[in-house]
Amino acid sequence: MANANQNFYELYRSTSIGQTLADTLDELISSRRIEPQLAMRVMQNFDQNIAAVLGEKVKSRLNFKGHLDTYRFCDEVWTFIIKDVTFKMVDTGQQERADRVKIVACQSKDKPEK
Amino acid sequence: MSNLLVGDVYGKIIEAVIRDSKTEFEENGVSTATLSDLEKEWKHKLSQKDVAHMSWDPKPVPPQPVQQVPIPAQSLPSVATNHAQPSYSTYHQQPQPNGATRIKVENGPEQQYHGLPNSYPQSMPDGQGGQVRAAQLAQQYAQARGIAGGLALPGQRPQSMQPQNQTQHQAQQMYMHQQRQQQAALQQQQAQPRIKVENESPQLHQGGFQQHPRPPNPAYAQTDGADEGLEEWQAYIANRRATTAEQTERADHMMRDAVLQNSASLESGLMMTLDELPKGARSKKRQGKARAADKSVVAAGPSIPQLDGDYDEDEKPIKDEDDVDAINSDLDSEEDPTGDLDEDDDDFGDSILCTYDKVQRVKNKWKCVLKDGVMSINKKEWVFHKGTGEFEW
Repeated sequence: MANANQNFYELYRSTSIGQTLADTLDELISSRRIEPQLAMRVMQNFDQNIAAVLGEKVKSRLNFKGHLDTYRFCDEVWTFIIKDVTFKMVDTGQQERADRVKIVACQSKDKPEK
Repeated sequence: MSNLLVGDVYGKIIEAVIRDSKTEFEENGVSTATLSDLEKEWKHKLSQKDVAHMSWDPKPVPPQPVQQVPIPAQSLPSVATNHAQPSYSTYHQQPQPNGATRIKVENGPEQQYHGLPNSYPQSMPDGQGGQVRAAQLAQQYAQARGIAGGLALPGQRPQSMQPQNQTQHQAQQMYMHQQRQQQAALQQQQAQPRIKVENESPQLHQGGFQQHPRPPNPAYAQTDGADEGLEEWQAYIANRRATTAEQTERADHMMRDAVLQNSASLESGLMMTLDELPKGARSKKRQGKARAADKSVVAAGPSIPQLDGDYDEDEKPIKDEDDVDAINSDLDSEEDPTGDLDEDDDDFGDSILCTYDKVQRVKNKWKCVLKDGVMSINKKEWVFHKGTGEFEW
């Protein structure tokens, strides 16, 4: 998933903020207001900035428990399917429940990447 | 972590991305207006997703009650009235100088009108000018009637029409005739005894119709204009019946196609025994062909019903447990695990996108430490710096 040049994961493009950015760029490309290469550069900027903001600006912590239904480890990427999950926010004490959660995790930047 | 903080985090991300992209835009010669539009649209789409309260979202405004402006119905009849009145006034004015001439022309058809049910085919040849005018008037009256309140207009003016020309009578009579089409049979009975009386009246005087007693049956005085209306109405009815017949037939075909499709889906092999199910990959190919054939058949119509049987046999997908040649085991999982992992249901699936620091397992106990994650749970988004998970496999 990581871009060799930028060394940032494209993982977060699947989030809502990433998808909305991609949709907006698609509209601009369709209307010929920007070039596709420029859109790619914007997405790379997004990859970099979201990782930076999440790493520096966010301080909250999370605990969760559940039943592991499926696990996969391939190309340094873990994929889990968890059933009957209970989330607990350490800061606020708020709890959430979900029947099925999919977790996709790339290797942390603290560890050297291939 | 709180859902409220997500908006601030996303706002910061957007600001950083736009700031870093500004240089790229300038290098590519794209105006800053495009960049501004990008930012606006991005925020707008994110707000529309409603996954969190964004920092740029305005405070929720209470929905204002929709004020429905009542359509002034009174203005419509007035419009109709104004529209119809000039026609009346023109009628009053125009025929007057030539009243005598016109009366003579239109006597013939008017004679025949009284025998309307019996002598209808005879009404056509004479007085065509009057019939044309009557037809035009009928259209005007129909429009006025269609708007609103036009119904009352001719009825309100029968007395004023009486002293006027016969053409005005014809127009009014046409209108009345259109209203009473269902009573044509009744009028026939009434008209027959009157034929003798009214045939004489126009011969006596040009304004004979004017002197004809109207109160008992105003429509009785209608003449050739009504004949045209009847003919048009009958033609219209015939067309409508033909169209209805076509549509009924078409609807029947559509219903039959739908029923066949439903029956095919119901008989898709789900209720079939294992012995009757086909085996191997060949069945899948036959499924594809049968489906394609069946679709084309269904689309073409119910002309080849026997293909449903082939479709039923090959419909059910092959599973290992059904295939006699398959190597089955109690340890086989019923679900396809790759299907679960590859599911992409952003709207309804809860997901966490993050990085991992550590993943451990002891027997069937798993522990993982996650970092910098974005969660989407129950259509709401959350962010966390560090997450710890414990699950049992």
